[in-house]
Amino acid sequence: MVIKNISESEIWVEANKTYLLPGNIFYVISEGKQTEEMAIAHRLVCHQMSKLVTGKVNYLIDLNNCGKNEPGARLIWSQISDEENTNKVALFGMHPVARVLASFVMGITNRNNQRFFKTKEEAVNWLVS
Amino acid sequence: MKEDLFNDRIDQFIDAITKVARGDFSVQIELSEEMDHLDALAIGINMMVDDLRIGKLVELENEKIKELNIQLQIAKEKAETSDRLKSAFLSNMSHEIRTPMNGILGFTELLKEPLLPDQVQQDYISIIQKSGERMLNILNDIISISKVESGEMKIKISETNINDQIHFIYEFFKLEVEQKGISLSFRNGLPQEQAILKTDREKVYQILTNLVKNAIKFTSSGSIEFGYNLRNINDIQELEFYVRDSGIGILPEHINIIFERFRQGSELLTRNYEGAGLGLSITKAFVEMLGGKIWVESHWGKGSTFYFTLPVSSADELNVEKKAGQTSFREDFQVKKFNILIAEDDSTSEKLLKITLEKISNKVLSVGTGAEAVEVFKNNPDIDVILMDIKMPGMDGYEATRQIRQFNKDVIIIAQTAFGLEGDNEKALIAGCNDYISKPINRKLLTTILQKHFDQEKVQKLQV
Repeated sequence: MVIKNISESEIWVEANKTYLLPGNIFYVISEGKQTEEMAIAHRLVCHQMSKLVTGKVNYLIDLNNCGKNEPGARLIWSQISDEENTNKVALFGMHPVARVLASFVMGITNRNNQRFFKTKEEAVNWLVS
Repeated sequence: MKEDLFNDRIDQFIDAITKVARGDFSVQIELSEEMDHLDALAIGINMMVDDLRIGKLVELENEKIKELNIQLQIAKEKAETSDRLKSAFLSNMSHEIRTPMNGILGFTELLKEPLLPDQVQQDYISIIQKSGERMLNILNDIISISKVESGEMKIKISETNINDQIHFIYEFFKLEVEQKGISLSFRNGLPQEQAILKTDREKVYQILTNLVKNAIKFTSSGSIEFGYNLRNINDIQELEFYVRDSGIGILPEHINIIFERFRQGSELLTRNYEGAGLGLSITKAFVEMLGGKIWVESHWGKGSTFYFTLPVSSADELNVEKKAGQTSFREDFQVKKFNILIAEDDSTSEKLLKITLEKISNKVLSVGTGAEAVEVFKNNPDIDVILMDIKMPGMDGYEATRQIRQFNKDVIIIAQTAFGLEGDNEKALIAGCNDYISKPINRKLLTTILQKHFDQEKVQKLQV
């Protein structure tokens, strides 16, 4: 598992990149197949980054280049969504694959704080509203 | 062309779904670069198949856990049963040992009364003797079962005449059975000269004795018959023994448990009939060690027949009787008066031996250690027999025997063994003893052993 701390607000987990944006937004760009190990690493990264902000956090997840999610990975991401410190989760992607991926993760969360959008703009607008 | 590509892709879906339907959860549909609706469908199906595979694994694990739980439950119940039986055993053992001890101590105390009539004295003595024998039987059973459990019980194969064993047992129990008003009979399945079997003679004797003893215990009227028949099943010969009684029988639900340790068919029965409940489990262990099997047919209130088999390896095994080797006590044998050296550190055992040997001894010397035995024997070369206790302070009986053999190869040395452990008797012979006898010493057996080792011409009649 390769984790690169580019800066305080930019950390890479394998090919995935996570950025801390204004408004307590964790912007995650998913690249390729998502394994359970990667999801666990992401959770640690997000916990680490959440110490830099005050209050709840929002997730903005780019699924345009995302590949298949292992069952364990989907479970970890649903757990992240269900954490008390998580406010909203916006997933987005232009193509049908992204929609299917989002459905699989959203289908197993307990809270109703996730939405899927086609574009990044739509997703961000919802997060900040 | 586009349609062909589309159809190819659809075929992949169909292929994958078919495999999944057959339980193949390793299938994955290939994605294109398009990331179109078909790819979306493919990725969805792939993830669903992953979920099905995980689900199947979880199901299998749950099955294993269920199975483990069942086994744990069985083991728990077994442990609880074992615990319960052990408690019952200890309680029963305490009773079985204390009861004859009560007889021994109680009636010994009563014997101290002065001016007891002769008949009353004899009655008390008889009770003490019977109580002692009962305790000895219990102790022997406990040692036997311990040896079986620990794997120390060994088989000693020799030729034995089965008819002689049957006859011996008949003579042994005849009086006791007749006193109960029961008839005892036996049946030999083969002529005398063909009734030789290569087996462990002692164990066969114990098996038959246990079964006949049980039959006597549980029969209050009617008859007891025992014997054997030769069976030929699929070219394999075996002797099938039986002991049939007209006693209380066994309840059907108890037939499977009576061969278990500490059971007599029910714990209630254990309290009504004396005994530790070890006899049949020992009998079964012995039968199985000899390559046979044991079973019972019974009707409650009418009686039981116990069967056991012993294998015969071939028809040639059933030979003409060989004459050497067997020694049995003869009432008319003649023993000379011996010069005896007793090496025994326990004063009670020493006193008992002296009294036992009175009638067959000219001179009796006694010592308490192995070193003294060597010294006294050196100074008294006219000693005929040394009764050598094994466990003595300082030099033990084995070492004393070895030292004596360095300067005298002829004196008869009989080891007194008390442990009853496998190998004790062999150790005594290896050390140089001529024979061995287990404590408590039986006078008849001792004189039989002496008879074996002394020339008949030198003997005179023994008043028993």
